[in-house]
Amino acid sequence: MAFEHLGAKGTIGNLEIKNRLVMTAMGVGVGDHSGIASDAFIEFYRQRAEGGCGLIITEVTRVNDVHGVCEYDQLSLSNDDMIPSFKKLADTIHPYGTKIFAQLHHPGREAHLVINPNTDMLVSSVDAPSRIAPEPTRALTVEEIHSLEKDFAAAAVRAQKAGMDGVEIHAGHGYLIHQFLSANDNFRTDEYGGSLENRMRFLLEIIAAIREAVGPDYPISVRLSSSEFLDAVGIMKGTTVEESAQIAAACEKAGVNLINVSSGTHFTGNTIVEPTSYEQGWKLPLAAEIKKHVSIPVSATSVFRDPAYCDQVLAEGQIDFIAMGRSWLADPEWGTKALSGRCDDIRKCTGCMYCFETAGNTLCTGESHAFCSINPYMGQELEYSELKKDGAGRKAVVVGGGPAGMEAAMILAQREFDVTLFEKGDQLGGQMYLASLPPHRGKMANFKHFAEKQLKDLGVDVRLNTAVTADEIRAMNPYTVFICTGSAPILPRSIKGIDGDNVYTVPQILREQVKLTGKKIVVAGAGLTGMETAEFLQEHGNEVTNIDMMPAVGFGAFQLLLMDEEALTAKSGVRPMPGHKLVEIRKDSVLIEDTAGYQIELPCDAVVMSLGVRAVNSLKDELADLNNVVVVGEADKAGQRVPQAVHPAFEAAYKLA
Amino acid sequence: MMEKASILLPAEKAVLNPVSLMGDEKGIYFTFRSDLALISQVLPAPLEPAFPLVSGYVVEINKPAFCQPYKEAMIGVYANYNGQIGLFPVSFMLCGPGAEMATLGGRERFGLPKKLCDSITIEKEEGRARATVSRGGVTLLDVSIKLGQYNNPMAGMCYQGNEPGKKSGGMSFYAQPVIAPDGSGYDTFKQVNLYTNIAEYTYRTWEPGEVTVRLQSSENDAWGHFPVFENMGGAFSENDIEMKDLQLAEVLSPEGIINKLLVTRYDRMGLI
Repeated sequence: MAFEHLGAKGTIGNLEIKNRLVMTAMGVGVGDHSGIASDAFIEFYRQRAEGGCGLIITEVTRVNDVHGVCEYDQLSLSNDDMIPSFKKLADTIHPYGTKIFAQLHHPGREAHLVINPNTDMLVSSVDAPSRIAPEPTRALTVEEIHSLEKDFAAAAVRAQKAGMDGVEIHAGHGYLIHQFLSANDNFRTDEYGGSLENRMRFLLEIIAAIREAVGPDYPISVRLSSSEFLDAVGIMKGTTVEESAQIAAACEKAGVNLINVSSGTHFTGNTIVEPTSYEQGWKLPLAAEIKKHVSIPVSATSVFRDPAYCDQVLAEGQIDFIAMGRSWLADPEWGTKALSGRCDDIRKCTGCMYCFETAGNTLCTGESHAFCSINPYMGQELEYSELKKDGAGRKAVVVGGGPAGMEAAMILAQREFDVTLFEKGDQLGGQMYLASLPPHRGKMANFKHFAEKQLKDLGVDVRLNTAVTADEIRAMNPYTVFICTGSAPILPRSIKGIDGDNVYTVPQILREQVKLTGKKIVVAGAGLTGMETAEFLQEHGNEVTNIDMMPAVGFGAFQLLLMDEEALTAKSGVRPMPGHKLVEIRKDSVLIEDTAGYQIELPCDAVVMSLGVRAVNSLKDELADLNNVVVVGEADKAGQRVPQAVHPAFEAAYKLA
Repeated sequence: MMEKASILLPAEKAVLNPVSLMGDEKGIYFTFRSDLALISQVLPAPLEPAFPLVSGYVVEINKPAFCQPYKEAMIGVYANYNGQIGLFPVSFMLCGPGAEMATLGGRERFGLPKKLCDSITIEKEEGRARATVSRGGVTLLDVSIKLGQYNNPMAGMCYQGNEPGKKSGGMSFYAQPVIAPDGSGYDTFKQVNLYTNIAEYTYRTWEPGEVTVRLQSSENDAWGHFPVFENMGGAFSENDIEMKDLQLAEVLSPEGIINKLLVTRYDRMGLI
């Protein structure tokens, strides 16, 4: 066993857990609209069980069909019809020695009426709508509160009947129970509002109802948001860790067996599911503080990625279980790889938020589900269940070592093709490596590190610093050629002065081929790349202005990533100037034009162009006479993101006939 | 004939004019999205940030009820006070013949963070307008507007569907530091009065448009404190404003909040 603390058995109540690895609840939309645990869902969880997870906690599982629906394809334990599929789920998980809890949930006002057609108003502790997605909301009556408590208890009994090993009550993240716990949300004046004792009443009554229904030994976990982090934005009444510790202690007294610590509320969503910039262990002190106030085990999330770090956290006794969400999406074998010491083989989550973004996109429609940008299997376990190993040593050439090229090369090599990967630069990773270079973005290189190890182990012939020609490829007589040559920065010829020696590109800056300090710099283009480059330059002692012709920075970016980058920009001191078009670059200034057509001269020493990229794919035409030539990633369509490189490369390599 | 100068006023005239009217105002109004954490930094507790938005204006006030004409610019943020949402003006700049009296009156009567500045310009031409505010040789604000429609329709939320002929009321919060002797022979910050106030706007014109906001800080005036993440929209408008229903909402302890209120009223060396 590589990590003795991670691999040590733990207990939750009387339930033995084979190791200290917990997979937290994540709404991934793989299920069925009826609420049953579908075969796709069961396979999704089975692979995580096989991959070494000690305790799986299902995604948010509704207990009430009238106003308690959170996602279109959400799991449900709201009626007895669900029991057989949950039994199948439990029976599938158990042979691996893994335990499974059902997370019981009600969204309160953090829901949508379109997926709650049985009501015309969402419900909450009070009649205030969500601050994020406001829809008509009313306060629950006391009678309804008591009725919901019974719903939770009934759902717990169904989980128990299905053979699930326990239940978790979701009391965090700004959902209904949290809407009672938080003084910022709950301004009821009856026995369910006001003092902490009153605000806890709903949760404690749910626990009591469940405990009475399932008996004294059935494990109950409670998920808490240790802090709402509202004080960071000047709102002082939010849940604090001091209050959470009192809540946790009250839960223990009420018969709870595990406190599962998270943080945040919908208004501070980036502290629930953290973007790349958050460091491993950043919120661990909150869980450690809560642990001081209870004698039952404490589990916690905290952007855990590295087994050695996790083992150390357990060794120090800060918490009892390592809870991870997205790490299990990126690599279902996280547990077995970690516990066998194969840490470099773990496909570590980059924190890119693509899973959260895709889950959100389909929340109300069920048209699709969450995807992982670097693990194309995720959510498609049944579709991609058997990789053919039929390459038979035939030659495969991959040109370009960005995410598309690396993924294609890995899959082709796993299929037993003889793969040669050409990369003209001195590094693999392409744009993804570039994305790891700005401040706080190091985790974006996780996939590069993983792929480098896999390519080496798979025997792929990786040739760096090699710009291969069409003739050289043709001479190799390849069965297939994957053109993954990526993109190059756009330098618009229409901008006067674009050829000046004070004009640089993003790759030149981030790769530090050009080092600028103490300069006044204009970064043209305020998409995420431009913003991160501006932040990079500001941190290198420059005074940076970031212009963009769009009225807003980060145009087209996923909202939570943009929120994170805007916060970092605000801290860095970069001056964003949306609404300004670059007209001319001069020796000591730029001429910019605003939306109303006024031209302004902005003094500066250098200009960095971040106006997008163009596809680089000349080999496509040059190799048109060959069979099985595939163009993927930015070589196919510029301006894409990592999943639009990795997934098509995976699919093309997987399905190559 | 000019009235004979005198230090003395007739006793019956030594009263506060109950009407605080800024008549015949004309200029640019603007709103942009910024950073909530930075917005929260400037708000004295118990005010909490309501939205990540910053609003402002640059206007000429041609018929004030209390002094000669002047020009005024303001930036402010939206605050939540016990469920009431209103604007908390962070900084005002004034210039022109009536500016000194408007500055003193605004500060002393309502606690408004007003300062005199070097220049304020407002230029309107066909389809567009531009305004600038400079103090200490630094252009603190340079805003333009392309008339037509807001950059983002959500800007309408801040402007309550304004249109010509419409009257609308807007809640504002002001924090007035009160300085008094501390009993040991020196003065001290004794308290901060938190006021609520309704400003009633009567619009003669309201021409919405796409704004572009450029802010910059100087040593004494940190208008660049708020990064512009999204130009939301604004308008060129002619209107009258009357301040009504001034209320002392709460007397606050200066501890922990006075540092948020000084630099917008006094330059850094002002009280040191």
